[in-house]
Amino acid sequence: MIEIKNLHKTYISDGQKVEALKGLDIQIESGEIFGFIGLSGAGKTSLVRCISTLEPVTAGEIHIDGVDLTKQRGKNLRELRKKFGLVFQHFNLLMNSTVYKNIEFPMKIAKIPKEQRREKILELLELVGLSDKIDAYPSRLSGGQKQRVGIARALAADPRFVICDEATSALDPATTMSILHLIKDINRKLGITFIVITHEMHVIKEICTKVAIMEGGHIIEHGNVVDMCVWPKTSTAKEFFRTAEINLNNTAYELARKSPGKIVKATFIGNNAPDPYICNVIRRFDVEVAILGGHIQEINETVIGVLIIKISGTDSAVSEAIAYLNDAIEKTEVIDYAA
Amino acid sequence: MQPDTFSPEHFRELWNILWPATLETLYMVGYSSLFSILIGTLIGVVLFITSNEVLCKQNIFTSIINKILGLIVNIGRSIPFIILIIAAAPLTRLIVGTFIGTEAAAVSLTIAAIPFVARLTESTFAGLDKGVVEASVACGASLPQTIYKVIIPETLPVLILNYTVAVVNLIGFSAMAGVIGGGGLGDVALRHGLQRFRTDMLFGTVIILVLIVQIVQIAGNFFAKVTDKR
Repeated sequence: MIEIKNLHKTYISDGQKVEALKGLDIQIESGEIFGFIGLSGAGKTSLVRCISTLEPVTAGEIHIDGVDLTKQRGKNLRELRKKFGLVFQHFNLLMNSTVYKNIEFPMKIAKIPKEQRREKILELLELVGLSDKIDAYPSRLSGGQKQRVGIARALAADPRFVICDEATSALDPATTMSILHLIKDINRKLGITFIVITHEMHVIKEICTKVAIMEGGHIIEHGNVVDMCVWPKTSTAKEFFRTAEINLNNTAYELARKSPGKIVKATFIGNNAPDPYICNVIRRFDVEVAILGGHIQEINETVIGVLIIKISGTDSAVSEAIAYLNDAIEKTEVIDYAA
Repeated sequence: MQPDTFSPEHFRELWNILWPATLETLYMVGYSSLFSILIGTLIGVVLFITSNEVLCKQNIFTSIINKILGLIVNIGRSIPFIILIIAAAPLTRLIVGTFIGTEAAAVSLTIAAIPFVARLTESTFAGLDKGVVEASVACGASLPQTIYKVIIPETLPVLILNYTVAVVNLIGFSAMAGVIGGGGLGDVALRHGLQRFRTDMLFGTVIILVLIVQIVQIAGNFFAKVTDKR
């Protein structure tokens, strides 16, 4: 488990203080894929550099499995670093070494015997699907393949945690998906905790179980990804998760607004998503329902369905129908009143 | 009284003068290259790590080392070689027992080339993507491990090219070694070629020097190429 307590990081450049992290508190459980999302300048990079001990912290504590990272120096610190694997945005591979040597590097540092190293490298290359590139130099690899080597290297010395710092930000969408699936796969197979730093919401939704939203050096909101997707509290969270919503600027919506009734956004979570709520509404209440839009997505094996409907009828019937939906499903919002 | 150009006596005379001089030049350049690269690289490494936040925690101590070494290197590089040979005489005597002769010239050349090699090394390292260094440090690699296993192997092709530049420079510098009796091709060119109007000697030295520089440069390019997998 990683426990971050009141973490501060202040840079001094040209005599001016720049506060990058202003007191972060967060716990990351083992086995999770924990995402940190924020726009640039939110403090994500500072956080990752503090956790990976590339930068000293200004104040605060970072405990991993009960040991405070910030108090360690010299050899102890280097030993602790072996518990982490880092995956970088720009791969940072040894360009003058083969794929094999690149993956071998952390194991050499960890003084793993040669025979064991070879076995492990073959295993890792199998896992990341690059067995045929064992003797290739990184310059011969595509971006996605380089990142697979980066991931294999991060896993080489059996780390407890792997930190992915914008690991997919330099890759094209298809490659990004394959890398994300690989990360999820490794998390499942090996139970390694992943810390994923990104500015892209789809990365969080694709693989993370928990997420923390960063802004101005603070964590402004954190929790389960599914919960935050449905019930975002802060405006930044809403902004990030809005991309998941349905575009309402369409003609059907505009036309619907002009006729009487209420436009309702209904969100269904989990196994009851396929249940016939809309059918029930029509049967039980004297209302008409028009469907304006909807979609179903899956986050962490949880189905989230969103449906935009217009309910029209007498005022009391509409209110009753909305009250029913409110009771029956996770989230019902009246998003607009028709004229 | 120049002998017939194509007579065997003429060639023998040329050979008798140019061959020992060539060996002297090779001796001076060889030793000074070896030692200036060894020592210069070491100083370059220190210059690099004392200004690198990721490799070494920066404090007043590292900053002072960096500033002082930088100053020494700059001073060393600004003194003209002809002056340095004389100025380094006491040090040369301390190392080889005399400040006259080929050995002494090799020491002077080494001293002259060290600052240059140090700067070349530092700037080569500075050109390395710092992400690679961070990746190494984040794996738990120690400072020597990062230098030997990451920084030097990753910059090796560029280092080789830069060291080739330094060696070619040393070949040029070695011509001045005649001043302290160091001998060599430069000395022949000056004493026989210029002062005794022996144009044939002058051309001979130039041709040999051109050949040496060519061989060094071609070898440098070759080794840089075979070590470059980027």
